[in-house]
Amino acid sequence: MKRIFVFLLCVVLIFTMLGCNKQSKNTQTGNAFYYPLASIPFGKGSSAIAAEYRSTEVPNVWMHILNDYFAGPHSEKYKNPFPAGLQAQMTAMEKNTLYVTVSKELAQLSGLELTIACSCLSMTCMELTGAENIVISAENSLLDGQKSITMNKDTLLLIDKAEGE
Amino acid sequence: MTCAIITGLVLLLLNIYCSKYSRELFFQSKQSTMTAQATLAASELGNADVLTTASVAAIINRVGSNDTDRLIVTDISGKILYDSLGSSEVYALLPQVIRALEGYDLFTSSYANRVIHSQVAIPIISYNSISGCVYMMDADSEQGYLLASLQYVILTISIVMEIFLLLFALFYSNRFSRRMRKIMTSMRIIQEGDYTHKVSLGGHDELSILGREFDHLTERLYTSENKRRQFVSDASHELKTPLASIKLLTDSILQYDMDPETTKEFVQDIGNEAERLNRMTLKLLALTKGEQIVDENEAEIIYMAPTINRVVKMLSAIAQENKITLRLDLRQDSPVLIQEDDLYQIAYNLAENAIKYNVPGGTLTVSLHRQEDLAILRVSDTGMGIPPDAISHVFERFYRVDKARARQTGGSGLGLAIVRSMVERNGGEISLQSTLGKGTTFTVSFPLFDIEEEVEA
Repeated sequence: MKRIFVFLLCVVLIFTMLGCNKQSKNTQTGNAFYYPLASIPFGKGSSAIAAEYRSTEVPNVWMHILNDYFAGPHSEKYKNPFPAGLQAQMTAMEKNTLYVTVSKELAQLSGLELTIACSCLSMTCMELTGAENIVISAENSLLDGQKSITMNKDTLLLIDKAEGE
Repeated sequence: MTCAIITGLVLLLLNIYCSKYSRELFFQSKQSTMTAQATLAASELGNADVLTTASVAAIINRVGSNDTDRLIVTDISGKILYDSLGSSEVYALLPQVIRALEGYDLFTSSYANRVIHSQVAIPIISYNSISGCVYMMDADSEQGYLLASLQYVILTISIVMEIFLLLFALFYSNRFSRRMRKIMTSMRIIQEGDYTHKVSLGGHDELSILGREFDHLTERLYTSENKRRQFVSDASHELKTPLASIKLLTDSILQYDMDPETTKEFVQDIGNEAERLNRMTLKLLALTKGEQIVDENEAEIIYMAPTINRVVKMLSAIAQENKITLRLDLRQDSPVLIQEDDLYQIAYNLAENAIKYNVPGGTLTVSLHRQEDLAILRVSDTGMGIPPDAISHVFERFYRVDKARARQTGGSGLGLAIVRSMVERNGGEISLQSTLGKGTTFTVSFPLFDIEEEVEA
């Protein structure tokens, strides 16, 4: 009886320890497409925006990739920040700056929603093209009263790094 | 061992609970402080007409000292208007900021590497709509160190307690096992037949009570076993007497030519002995059923002489065989209240002993006397006598003065013990006087039962 008790205790402890140390291994293959998380985490070093990794079917057609991105995430872990019907109209690369013009549906967004949508688009574009600055504009529309919104890595504060200091 | 594991688990759970609870206390303290500061700032900022970098900086400076590590104020789009760390033209998309801009007050806290990380985000409400948010972050290593110290103290106390409990459990289980082994050993000893053995456990715990109860049980067993042995030996001895008489009478009939009158008399005696044997068997059966040994209703008022005569007559052949002269003086016969079979057995055992331990050519004298209100039966022999140091032991069970002689004569050492027992249960007394080499006299006295006085009463 004692041996069984001790054995069970050991098994429970081992499983508990294994459970604590268990780490989910992401097989991060493909390109990163950024979306806001459906459920926002609040732990130290947590971010509200994360990448969904997926392989692009037609890698060379840039506009097609963007339109597919605007259609929304494949996983339920993420939310789609873009309005329905949003389409990429034109992209142009000048030095390290990528100019992205999208359809007027983006102008339906404002405030925080617009910021999140532009941030996700900027991060995805920086990841896909290697551009350092992304200038986003909507066809014949203003975005929160501005002709365009410029974003780069320095203009986005996703994680409060001061926490770790 | 099990006890130690259980206490260990309990302490572990207590430890976890205490650590968690103390952490919660620190978090709550942080929450109340930071939320108050952020709420104050948000309230002041909400009163501003327009939130610009300049107006926000002015308000923050007016609100006063901020002891957090970072303070951020954003507009509705998340754009930083004020950052205590100096950044500008940056969009703060921190989880806390996003939730606050959605209209929620938020406080999060975590503890790692002896640092308490706390974040609070409060929406700025202006004209009943959200116009931005206040975000504060604090990494408090001072309180983190305090928390770590507290947890360390709790852990140390737990470990010390566990060690103490482990030692206590070891000591107690060892003591318990030792006492239990003592009981087990005692049980084995008693099982082997030593009923005098005692467990004798000191203390007042349950085991001591068990030990005492066990001792009481053993005592009762011992008494019961003694009674059983006494019963078996007494029964054998008492049954032997009438059987010996019957054998003697039948031998006499077979060996000597007797006239029909004498033969009839002998056969009648055999019948009497058989009847006595029957009564004794009934008594023994009653005994085996646990009934009282002496039924006082069986006592009767009898004169002693006829019974003594029967005994003498029965033993006359043996006396003759051993060349012992029988002398009878039954003139002062008296009535006594006694069981006749007991009187017969008393007289028989004493007279038989007087013949057995007499010398060839010796004399056996049986006499009856009256002395005040006592009826006295005296049985004297002219035998070897009893040594003075043995006189006090002759009534003890299985005591034999001369073992070699007792074996030769078939003595069991029970005769006199039975005599004393029977005398006492019939309200009498027995004593002896003996002179070594000259002989022994047994004196049995019973209360005299005066029939006339009794009738008058």
